[in-house]
Amino acid sequence: MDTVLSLPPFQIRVRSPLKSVAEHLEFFYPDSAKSHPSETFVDFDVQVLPGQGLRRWWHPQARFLLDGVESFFPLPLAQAAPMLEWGLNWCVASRPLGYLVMHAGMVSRGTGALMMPGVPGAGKSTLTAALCLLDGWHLLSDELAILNPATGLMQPHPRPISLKNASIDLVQDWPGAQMGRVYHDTRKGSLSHAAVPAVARAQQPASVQWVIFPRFEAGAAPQCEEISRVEAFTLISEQSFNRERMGETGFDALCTLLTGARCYQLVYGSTADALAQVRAITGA
Amino acid sequence: MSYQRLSLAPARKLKFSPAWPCSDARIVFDCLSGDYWVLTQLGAFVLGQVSTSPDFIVDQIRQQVPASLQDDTFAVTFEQTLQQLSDAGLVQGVAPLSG
Repeated sequence: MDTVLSLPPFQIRVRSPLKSVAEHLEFFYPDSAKSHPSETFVDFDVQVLPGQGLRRWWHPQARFLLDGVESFFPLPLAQAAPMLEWGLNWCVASRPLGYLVMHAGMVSRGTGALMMPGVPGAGKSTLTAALCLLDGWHLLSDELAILNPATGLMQPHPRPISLKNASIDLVQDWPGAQMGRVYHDTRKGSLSHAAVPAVARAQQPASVQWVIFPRFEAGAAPQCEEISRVEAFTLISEQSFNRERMGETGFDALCTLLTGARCYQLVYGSTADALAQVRAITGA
Repeated sequence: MSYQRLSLAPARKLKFSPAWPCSDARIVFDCLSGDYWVLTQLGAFVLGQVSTSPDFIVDQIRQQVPASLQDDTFAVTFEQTLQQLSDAGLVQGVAPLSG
C-alpha cells in the first residue's frame, strides 16, 4: 500500500506492506481523499514496516519510520495500526509547520470550540467521545489541538478517538460509535479506536470559547471552578508540544486564544456528570 | 537589592500577556529563550518600567507605582519584588559610576 491521506491541515504519505495497516486505513479513513504520491506534496512521509533480522521469525515486530528514519523502538506486529496512529500524533506534535500544537481534546459547535487540555488519563478522549456521540458536538480532535496563529482558529483534525481500558466498553455502547478492534497488552493497556459518524466530524475551523481542564476521579462528586487565564496559560503550556519553539508567535497566539475564552477546572466521577457540567458552562 | 539603578538583564526580549480581568498576575515571556514567568502586578509594573529604558533609577520606579498596588507592606514588598526579578535573571543592578 502506498497512498496519500488528506488529513487537513496535513497531507500524509503512508506506505506499508502490512494488511492490518491497510484495513485500519480503510475502516477509519474511508472519506480521506487519497491520491497517488506522485501527484501531491506531502507534509509527512511515513512507513510502517515489518521487523528485520531473525526476530521476525519468532517475535514479529512493526517499525515506524518518518522520512526513512526510525525514531522509535519496534512494537509487536499485532500493534502495527496503533503504532501508525501514535506515529502520526508524534509527526504532528514534533513538526511545528507554523501551528501551535497542544495536547487536548477539541470539539466545536458552530464556530465556537471547546478545548480540553489534560495529562494522559485525565479522561479527555472519553469526554470528547461523549460530547460528539451523545451531545451533538463536532469532533476537531481527541488528542491534538492545532492552532493556526495567523487566524487564531483551531484546525479540524478529526481522526479516530483513542480509547483505553474501561473506556472501550463504555463508548462502544453509545449510538453511532464505530469501534475498531481491541489491542491488548499495549504500553497503555488495552486500546481501541472509535470513529464518530461523518456528520459529527468538524469541517470548519473554530475559535475557542471555552477551555476546560477535565480530571476523571472514579466516584467523585462533580466540582467545577472557573480559573484565571494566567493559571490556564501555565496549565496549557505544560500540554503544549512546541510553544517554546514557536517563540513570540506561539505566545501571542496562546494569549489571543485565552483572551477570547473562559477557563474552568472540572473534576467528575461519571460521564453524565461531566456532560451536565459542560452543558452548564457552554449553555448547550 | 542595594543597587540604585536597574536595567533589563542582557539577552532578554520580553513580552507581556494582556492585563486579563479578574487576574492579579501577568505572564511575561522571553522571546529569545522561550521561557516565561508569572509575575504579580507589582512585578509586572516594575519590569515594564525597566523595559522602557536602558537603565532606571530605583527610586523613580518606586514613586511611579500606582496607589492601587501599594499597601501597608509596600516598602518590603517592593524590595522583595526587585530581588525576585533579579533572582529570575530578568533585571540586573547597574553599579553607580565612581570618581
